[in-house]
Amino acid sequence: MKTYEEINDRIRARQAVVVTAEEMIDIVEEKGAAGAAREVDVVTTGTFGPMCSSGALLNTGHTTPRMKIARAWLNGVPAYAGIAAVDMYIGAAEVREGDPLNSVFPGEFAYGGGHVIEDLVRGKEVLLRAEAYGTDCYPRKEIETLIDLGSLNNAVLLDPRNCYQNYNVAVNASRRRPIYTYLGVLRPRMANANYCSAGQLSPLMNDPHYRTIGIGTRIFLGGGVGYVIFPGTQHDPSGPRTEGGVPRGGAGTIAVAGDLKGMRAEYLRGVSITGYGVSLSVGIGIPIPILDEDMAAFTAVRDRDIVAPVVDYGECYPTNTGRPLGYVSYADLRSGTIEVGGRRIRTASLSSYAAARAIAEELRSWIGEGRFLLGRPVELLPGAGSGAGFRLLEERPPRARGKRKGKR
Amino acid sequence: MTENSAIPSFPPSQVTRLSWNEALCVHCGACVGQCLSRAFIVDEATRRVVHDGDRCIACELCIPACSYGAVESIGEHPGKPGEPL
Repeated sequence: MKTYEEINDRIRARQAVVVTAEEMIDIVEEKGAAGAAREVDVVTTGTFGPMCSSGALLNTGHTTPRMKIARAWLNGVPAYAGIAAVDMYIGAAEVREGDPLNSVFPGEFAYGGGHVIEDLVRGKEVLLRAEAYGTDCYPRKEIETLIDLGSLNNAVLLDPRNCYQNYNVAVNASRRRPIYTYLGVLRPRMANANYCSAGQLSPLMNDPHYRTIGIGTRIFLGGGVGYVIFPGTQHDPSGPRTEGGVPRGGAGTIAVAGDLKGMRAEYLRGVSITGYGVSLSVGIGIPIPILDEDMAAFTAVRDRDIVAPVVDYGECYPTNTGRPLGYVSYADLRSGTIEVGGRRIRTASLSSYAAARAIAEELRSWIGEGRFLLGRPVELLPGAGSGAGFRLLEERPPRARGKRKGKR
Repeated sequence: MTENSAIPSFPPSQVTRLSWNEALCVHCGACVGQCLSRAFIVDEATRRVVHDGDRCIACELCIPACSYGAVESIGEHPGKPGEPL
C-alpha cells in the first residue's frame, strides 16, 4: 500500500516511477500486479476527442460606464449572459447566429462556441457584442469591442461532462441514405462503423471503479492544468460491466475546470461536424496513483479486454428503441474492421489515439520532472450501488390551471 | 469515359484533387473509415494518419468526415462535391 503523500514526496524528489497506461500493460505482464505495484507510483492516461458538454466562463472586466450584460455574442456566437454583470458562458456546441444549420443538408456548421474557445486560446482577438436593458447602477446598454484572452479578468474552461468512460460504436443499419451524426457520417447498410474512445489509454478505463478519481483530482486539461470538480452530468456507474470491472457502455463521466489562460490550442480544437453541429475537442490526461496491487491490475487494462456496444443510429438511437446489435472489443475496432451479425464492417475513430498517447506522455514528463503533484480527491465519484444513474425524461403534459387540485 | 472502361476519366484540368493539411489534422482517423481507395490509413505503430496521394481518387467522402477542415478539394470539380467520381 502507498499513500498519496508518499507518492507526492517521491514526485517532489523526482524519484517517482511514472509510466503511461500503454507501458503499464507490459510491466504488469512481466512482473505481475504485485510486482508492478511495488515498482510503479503513477500511471498516466490520455484522451482527445469531441466533448460537446464543454464551454468557457469568461469575465470581461467592467465597462465604463458600467453595464449589466443581458445578451452577448462572441464572433457572432451567442454566449449565455444570465449571470452577473460582465460574466458570460460560451458553450462549445453553440452555433454562430445566422448559420444556415441543416437547411442546406448536410450543414457545414463552420463556426461555433468551440471555435471561439480555440481562437481565444490561440491569442486571437474576438469580437464581443453585447446588449443590456440598463439600470441605475449599470446604465450602459450596448457595447462592441475586441477582446482577447490576455485582456479578460478570468477565463475558465468549465465542462459539465467530459471523458466518457466508454461509448457506443455507431452504425447505420437503414437502407436509405447516409446519416450525419455526432459520431460522424454513417453510410447505409452498415457500410462503416465509427467509435470514439482512447480505449486502454482512456482515463476512466484505467480506474473503472473510481477508486482514485474524484472531486479535487488534478489533471492535464487542454494542455494546461485542471481539476475534476464533480461527477459529470449523466454519470451512470450502475450499468453492466466486464469481469475486469470495465463498463460495457457509457457509464462514468467527469465535470472538469481549469484556467484557460494556461491551455494550448493544440488540445482545444473547435470542430465542425457535418450535418450535426459544432463542438470542442478537449485533451484530458489523468494520473492514476498506484496505491495497491488492484490499481496496478486496473491500469493494465488492454484494448482486447474492453468492449463497446454497436448501436444502430439509423433507427434505434434516435428513437430510443432497440438493443445493441452486438459488442466488439477495442482491439477489433482499432484493427480497422469489426464483425457484426456475420458482416465485416470498416471502422474509424473520432477520438485521436495519437493525441491521447502524446497527452499521457506529456503528463508523465510533468510528473517525472516534479512539476505536477497528485491531488487527493476530497470525494470520489459515485460508484456502482451508489444510486447514481441515468434515466430518460418522463414527459408529464401540463394540466390546465383551473383543473389542478390540491396544493398550489 | 474511356472506351470499355467502368472507371470514368476526366481531362486533367477537370479532375479535382485533394489537399490534406497535416497541420490541421488531429490524427483521429475519421477519414479512414470513409476512404474508398485506402489512401488514408492509420499507421499501426504511431497511430497517426498517413495520406497516400497516389492512391487518392478524390472521391471527397473524407471531406465531410473531417471535423477539423484538414482535407479540402482543390481544382475544378466535374460533379457535385461529395459525389464519387
